[in-house]
Amino acid sequence: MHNAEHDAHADHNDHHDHHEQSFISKYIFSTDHKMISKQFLVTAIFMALLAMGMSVLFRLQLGWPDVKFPIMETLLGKWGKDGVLDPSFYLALVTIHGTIMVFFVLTGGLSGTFSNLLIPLQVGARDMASGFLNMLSFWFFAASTTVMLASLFVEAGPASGGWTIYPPLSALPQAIPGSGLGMTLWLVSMVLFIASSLLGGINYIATVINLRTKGMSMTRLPLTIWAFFVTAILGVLSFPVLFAAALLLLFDRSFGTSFYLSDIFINGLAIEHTGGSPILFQHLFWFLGHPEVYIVILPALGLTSEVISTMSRKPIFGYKAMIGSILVIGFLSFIVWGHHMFITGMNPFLGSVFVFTTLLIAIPSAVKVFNWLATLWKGNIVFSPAVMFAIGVVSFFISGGLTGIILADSALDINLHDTYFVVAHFHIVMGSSAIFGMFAGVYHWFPKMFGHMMNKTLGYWHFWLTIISVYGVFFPMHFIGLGGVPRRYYANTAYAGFEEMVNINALISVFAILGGVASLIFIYNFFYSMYRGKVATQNPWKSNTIEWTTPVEHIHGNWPGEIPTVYRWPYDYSKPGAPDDFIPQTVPYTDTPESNTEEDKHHQ
Amino acid sequence: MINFLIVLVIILAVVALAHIVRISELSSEISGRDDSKITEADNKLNGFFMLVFMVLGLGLMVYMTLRYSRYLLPVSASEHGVGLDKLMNVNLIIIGIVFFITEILLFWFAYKYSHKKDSKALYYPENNKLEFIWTVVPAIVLSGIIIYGLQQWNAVINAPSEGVTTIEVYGRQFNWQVRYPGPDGKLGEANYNLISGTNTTGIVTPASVKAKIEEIETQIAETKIELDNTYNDEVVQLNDLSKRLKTLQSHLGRLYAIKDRLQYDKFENNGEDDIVTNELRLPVNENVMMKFRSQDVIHSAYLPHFRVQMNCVPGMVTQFGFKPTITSERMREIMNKKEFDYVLLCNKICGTAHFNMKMDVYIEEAPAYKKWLSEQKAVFAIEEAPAAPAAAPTDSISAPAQISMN
Repeated sequence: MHNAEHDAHADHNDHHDHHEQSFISKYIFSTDHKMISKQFLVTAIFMALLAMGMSVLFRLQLGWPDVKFPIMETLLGKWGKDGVLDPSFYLALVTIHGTIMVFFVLTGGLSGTFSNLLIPLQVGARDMASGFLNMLSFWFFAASTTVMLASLFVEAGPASGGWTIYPPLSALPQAIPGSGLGMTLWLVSMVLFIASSLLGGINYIATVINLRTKGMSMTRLPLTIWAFFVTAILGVLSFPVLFAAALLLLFDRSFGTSFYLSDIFINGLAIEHTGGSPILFQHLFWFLGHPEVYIVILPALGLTSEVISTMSRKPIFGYKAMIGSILVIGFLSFIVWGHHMFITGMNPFLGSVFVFTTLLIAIPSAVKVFNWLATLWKGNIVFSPAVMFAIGVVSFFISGGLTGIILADSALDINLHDTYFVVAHFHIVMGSSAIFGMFAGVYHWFPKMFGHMMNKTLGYWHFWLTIISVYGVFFPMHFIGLGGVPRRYYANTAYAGFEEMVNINALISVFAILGGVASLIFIYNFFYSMYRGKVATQNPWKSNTIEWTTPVEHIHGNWPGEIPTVYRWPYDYSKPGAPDDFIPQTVPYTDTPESNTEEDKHHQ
Repeated sequence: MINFLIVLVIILAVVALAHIVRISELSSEISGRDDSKITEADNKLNGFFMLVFMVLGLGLMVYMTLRYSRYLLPVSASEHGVGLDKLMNVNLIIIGIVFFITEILLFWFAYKYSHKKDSKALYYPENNKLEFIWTVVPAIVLSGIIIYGLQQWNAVINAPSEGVTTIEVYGRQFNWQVRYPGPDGKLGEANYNLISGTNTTGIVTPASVKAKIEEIETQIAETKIELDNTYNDEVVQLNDLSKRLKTLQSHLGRLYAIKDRLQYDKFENNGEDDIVTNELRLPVNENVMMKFRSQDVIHSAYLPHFRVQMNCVPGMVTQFGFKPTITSERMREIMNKKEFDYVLLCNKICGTAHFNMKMDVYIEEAPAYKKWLSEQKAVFAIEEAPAAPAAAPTDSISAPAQISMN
């Protein structure tokens, strides 16, 4: 294999430069981590646009419930007859929107893109531990997106029981049309997705552990790598549980087992399944589901740390505490799943335990926030679009994290469970922060990915319009939630008290549309810059990490000669005495006697 | 019309955007300006915008909070809810303070420390004392929040269950029913196998078991005839019918098991006089223990005005005890809304008409409630002779074992 060869003979890639790769092995079945990362990114952008389009459609319904939108019929056909969104398809839209965003964009898209791009480049490896598994990981991902997209065209509609697919609703086609073939395809897609995620995850872990370049000790890794590393571990430990949950559900649906079903009378018949428990599914689902939240957010936090430090020209404050907090968050994420189940009939005493463990997560999270603030303090911030998005991540992590303290309190969750307060909370803390982390990553590493620079002015427009839209959409939602409006309601006609809130809903929908328009700016900038953006220099952000020592033109094996040796941590920005405001990791301490501190002398 | 306008606005916005992009491109080409290089002007402008965004954003949030507070739920209509609201307010104040401090610092730093040519960032990689403080302080505050929160939680989950009225809320796609105990004050056993057109909550009585067995036997016979009359090439229909037959036969098996249990095990026939209604009425200032069941998928009984919510899960019975403290009438006065009524909503996605699954709730003074309850007929009352109401069921209650021996 290429990698083994590269690792053994570093100077062999001359040989590779000579032999031309075919289109297929270069762009389609590529085993090069940089190409795979781009494949993940482009797929995720496509999926994100689709899921965002869906959210605009159901926001039209929620914002203006009495208005007919011919565009519904144009786009949805029988599901939007006469411009009125069908209530079952409304549920399908929210379900698929959630599924795509959580799994395909924020898990596959975020980890797939940046773990792939940055792990080999920042630890100093020629490629992933296994290029072939890496390629498989992408193609499983592609297959799973294809199946999910195919499910949109099923006659009875795609899965529509919510992205959490709680049985019995998701198990019984009699209960909701989407629980027929649509749900089967959802499960198949998810199984493929999990395979992709596991193949990626073990590869990331193996690469970080085994393929670090000389001198790259674990405590010299950039925080991005720490975040990706812990994320991959979380994924490898939790996704198999979702796999089991999905498999058992598949059995219940197709082979007559009763893992999740009991005592059900539907369509005039008492069905045969007895003895199962719907609560079992919830335990299994959230045992993945909660770590999943951190699988989504940790990479974004890692990217944020890196970008904030680089662009404020300041070392990250409390590097070791940042690593510690990532580890603690990772650990705690496995013992908090029950906070999704306070009022589902789980033993209330168990609820108390989960309140305790959940609120503990606030401590490492607070440490992270304070450390970012301390990093910005007395910095010299160069406002690239990337750092602005990173600041947005911190802002969302604060706002959304704080409402999490309320929801973690089981007593308060009684009245807020499944209301719009929850929708507001997780869209800010997990959705928006993670997507902003992704944007920060794309703007920052675009030169590394495509060798061109992105247009900064469009980047600024994109940032300001998007952050305004995010707060415009999700801040007012807290009030609707506190007013007691349940989520996943097609219309708020059931109860007079809710109809008064329709003007808030219209406001939210306006901001949602604005957010949609803003992301078109990004799409334009992304594809335009890919071809016609200014050609990038080798280290445009004057960064310390070693990915910026590779040539702008991508080559197999990343470095033309030997892999550079690393001598220091990645955050020596604005070190007193140094001539420049950055000292790359590849500069030995012996070359910088003027800036070495007492402690540094031990490293020499 | 509004449709047309929206489409028009979107089209215009896209066209305008394309023009702006094109113009900026052309102008940068002419002037040789670099579209990717971040200049001092960019830093100054964006730093300033950070400040503006913070001031306007926080200002709008305060404005919205004041303006939208009228949409929030009114004062809690239950005893425990008052405590929860207090807990909520304390939490909101704490997180509000933290929110303002951290967001202001974040955007203020972004503004204050935007790049200046001559300045250099401070090399300040760590400070153990500071980090210790901002680990310990949140830990202490959170301990307070945890302890206070768990106190309230314990108060809620330890609501009295002995000597209080126990009623049952039963969810199904897409409506609610309430089962009240009859004069005996006890809810009878219920089982999904016994659900029928008249016995919609599946109350177990020897008579209801017998009737259901007969019903299923008839259905089995009918299905068999239908199956015989179906041609072999109608595969789909044959498949459906044999599936149905299988389901019915297993149902019958379970019914016989119930019948056996009534015969040989101890069985208290409390269900004979149970009352089932489509609205929820409760007396004010009396503890009530609500039991929840579901007929088909998971539902969630959500009573926002009482700060009560509990999922209804098929296959298990969940419960929530509370004490309503404000009558419907009084709440109308408090809210100054004549047409106000309490409501019980479904708050767990349960199917297409999920958004329409609700039930009216009325809280009344005890006498009015008792009068209303006494006017409700028991589920099995219709079959009785009008001359001697409640006579037959009384007999069967007193001698359940004897009847089931027959």
